[in-house]
Amino acid sequence: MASAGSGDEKAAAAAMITLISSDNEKFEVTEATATLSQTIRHMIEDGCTDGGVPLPNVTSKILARVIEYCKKHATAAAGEEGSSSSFSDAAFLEVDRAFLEELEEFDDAFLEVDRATLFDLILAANYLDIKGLLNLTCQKVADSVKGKTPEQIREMYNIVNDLTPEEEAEIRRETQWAFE
Amino acid sequence: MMDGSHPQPTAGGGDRLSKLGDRELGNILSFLPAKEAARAALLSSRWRDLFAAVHTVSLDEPEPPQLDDNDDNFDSYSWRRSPSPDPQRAAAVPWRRQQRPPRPQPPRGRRPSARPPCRHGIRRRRALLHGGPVGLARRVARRARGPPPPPGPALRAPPLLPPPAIRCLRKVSARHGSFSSTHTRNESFSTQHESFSFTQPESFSFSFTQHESFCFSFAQHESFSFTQQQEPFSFTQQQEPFSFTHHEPFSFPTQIELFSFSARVSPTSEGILGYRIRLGSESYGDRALSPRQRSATNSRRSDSYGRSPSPLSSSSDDNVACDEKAARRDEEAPRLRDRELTVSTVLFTCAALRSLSLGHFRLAPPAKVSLPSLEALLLSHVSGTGARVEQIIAGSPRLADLTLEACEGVVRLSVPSVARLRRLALRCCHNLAAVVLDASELVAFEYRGAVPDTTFLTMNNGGASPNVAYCKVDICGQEVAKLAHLLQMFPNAKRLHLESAGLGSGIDKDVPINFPTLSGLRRLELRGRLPDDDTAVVGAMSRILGHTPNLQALSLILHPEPPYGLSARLSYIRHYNEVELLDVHSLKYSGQSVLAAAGCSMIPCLRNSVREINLVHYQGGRAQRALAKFLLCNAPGIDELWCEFAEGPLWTQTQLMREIKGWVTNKSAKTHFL
Repeated sequence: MASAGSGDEKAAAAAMITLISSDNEKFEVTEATATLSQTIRHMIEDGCTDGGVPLPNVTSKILARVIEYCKKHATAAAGEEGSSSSFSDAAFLEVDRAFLEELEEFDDAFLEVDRATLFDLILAANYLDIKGLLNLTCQKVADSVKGKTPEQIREMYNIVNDLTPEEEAEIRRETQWAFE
Repeated sequence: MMDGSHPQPTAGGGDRLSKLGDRELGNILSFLPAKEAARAALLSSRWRDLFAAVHTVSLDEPEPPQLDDNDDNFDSYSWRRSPSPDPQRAAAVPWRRQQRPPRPQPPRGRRPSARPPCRHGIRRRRALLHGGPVGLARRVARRARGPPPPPGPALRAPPLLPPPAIRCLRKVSARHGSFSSTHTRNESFSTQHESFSFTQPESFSFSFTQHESFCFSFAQHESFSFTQQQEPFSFTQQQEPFSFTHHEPFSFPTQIELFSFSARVSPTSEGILGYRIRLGSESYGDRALSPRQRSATNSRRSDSYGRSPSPLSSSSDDNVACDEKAARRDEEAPRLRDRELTVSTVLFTCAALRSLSLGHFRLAPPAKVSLPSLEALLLSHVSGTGARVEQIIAGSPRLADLTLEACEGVVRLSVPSVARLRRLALRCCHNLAAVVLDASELVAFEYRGAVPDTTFLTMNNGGASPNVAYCKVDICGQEVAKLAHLLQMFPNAKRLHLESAGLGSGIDKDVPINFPTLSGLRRLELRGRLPDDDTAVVGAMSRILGHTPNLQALSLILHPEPPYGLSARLSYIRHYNEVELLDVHSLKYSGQSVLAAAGCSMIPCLRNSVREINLVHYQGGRAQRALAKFLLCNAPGIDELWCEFAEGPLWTQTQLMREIKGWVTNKSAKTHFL
């Protein structure tokens, strides 16, 4: 996991960042990969990444997955990085469609994890502020509950219903439009 | 793994889902339809108030068909032309770069309308929006290069972190006349929203009603955009004032879009939109109907009139009295209308503002404009001279993206050198006669209007050709011939969109010896009508292609014949009325007419480099078939062919499809018929 990125990030390839998981495992990644995380990006901007970035909330197992995601997606982002910060429309950059389709496949495969890992990924994505990963994982959870009754969802996720019948009735009243 | 039918014990046991933070759960709920998200309150007490953390609300799923083939990543402000609600796009521009890469652009010829609602599509489009404002504010705050950001709520990002407010409300409904249900929903949402008003004094309270799909997005503090996505079929052009008054404690957000709305008035639906925006208790915008619109819609107007109950007052009374109130407000309308509003001068000294879009205002910037963060400026139907615009630009050193739209007052524009534009769009500024700019960083140029004069554009670029990679030209009229001069200024273009009333018209006759050779051009898109009696199009096409030696993809968007009853002046605007799209039979195929053999003129780029051909809205008329035959028979190297037929009976489409397949010389090419 600790090797450099795919090598086509030209300028960024030189700068490596060391990420340290909660169980003290070190991961070396390119700056382009690391900056997919806004949290780390800000640290880099502030110049406080020397000696590694400790990530006390992320285990090595999860961090490895997160880095896997970032590496894959950093390559795609690299194209955009070339343009000035103010210009966001990239249509003319001749985006390689095949690559993006591959990226989508990667995402789908990436999500084939057990539920505990998924939650850990959500937490890590939130902590590291990686929007793409957060959305990807949250969507996965959302898809799993879509179309289910509250009872089914509770069963699925071990949610204990602590609402009194009165409270339930009140909620139904308050949001009547949702139950029509 | 996440197979819901087999509840699996989570590792570590317990309810890990409920232990996620409000922000994560809000994010999850944002991916659900609004009703389901709201029903989640029933799960447990943890979930009861979570709906407040939802930042994207979808009122209707799935997405409606997107009717506009003008959909383009590039066209970030395609709000006027895109009938599909896409608040994300408008809202996402400033922070798009943090997100995942842009969605792969479908080949130009593929109209998204033919695509079934796609889950990934939704996911990606939403991904543009989610969580943006917080990161954005932080980034803005960290941008130390500019002057210090002003104090004030606009930059106080951390309090936003558990954002108890909807950041985006998406209403996706293409139904006509389903007023009652829409109405109920809207009421519910304003009620829902009122509860936020207490916790978020600066959030907006609003309500809206409209038959047609439309959408807007807003974000408290940071982004305030109010955009109509649906181009009205009848294209009302009257100027609608949007009242906007400034209130001192209001700190300006980083993105502002203010557009006046024109209601949709078409033969098939009467839609009238009224709205009022409130900021806290202060009313910021209030719009009423114009007399013209009201005369156009006599019946049912009162019940389709949107209004906003005061956030602090009970809305139930309003519900009952809806009709009378609406009627009364109609009476007040003319007063509002007569004022042409001036943009508050405070707006021009807002240090955090990154994106500013103004519509239907009188522009009167103060002498000292200071918009150090401004990157994108869009002025639409703004009255004010070029000097005023220049004044704003002069105060915006970071400006990269400038769009002027129907700014009749602008005659000359000399973009101050302080701004190095990367994108310039000039749309329908009919009085604009001369533009001078420093084009050293210009990469995209867009023009819509009459054929410009040869002196129209002056680019100071130290003698070198500008590096414009993307060029889009949309000519209101027939004549394309004189265009050569304009195109000559962009010899490095990689993508070129050329739109005119008639496809390729004008090019055949006088083609310009000096028609530039666009050796860098990879994608060419031609849009326009191609009527049956056009016999010159093949010639025109081969001439164009003769000048694009390295072309890889060619797209032809064949406009439908103008809808009956539209004035010729407006006919260049594409109208996709939904009912028409569904019912109209626009195929013109006649099996009897025999086509002449395609001349085997050797066109180098067709033979060597073109890999993809897209035909959109192919009606199968004689000229269109001749053109398609010509292209396909002469392009042995194509890998992909996309063809989207005009609406019509399946059997005709099938015949056309067979015919086209017969023309494709490379039998292993992928063909897609939609």
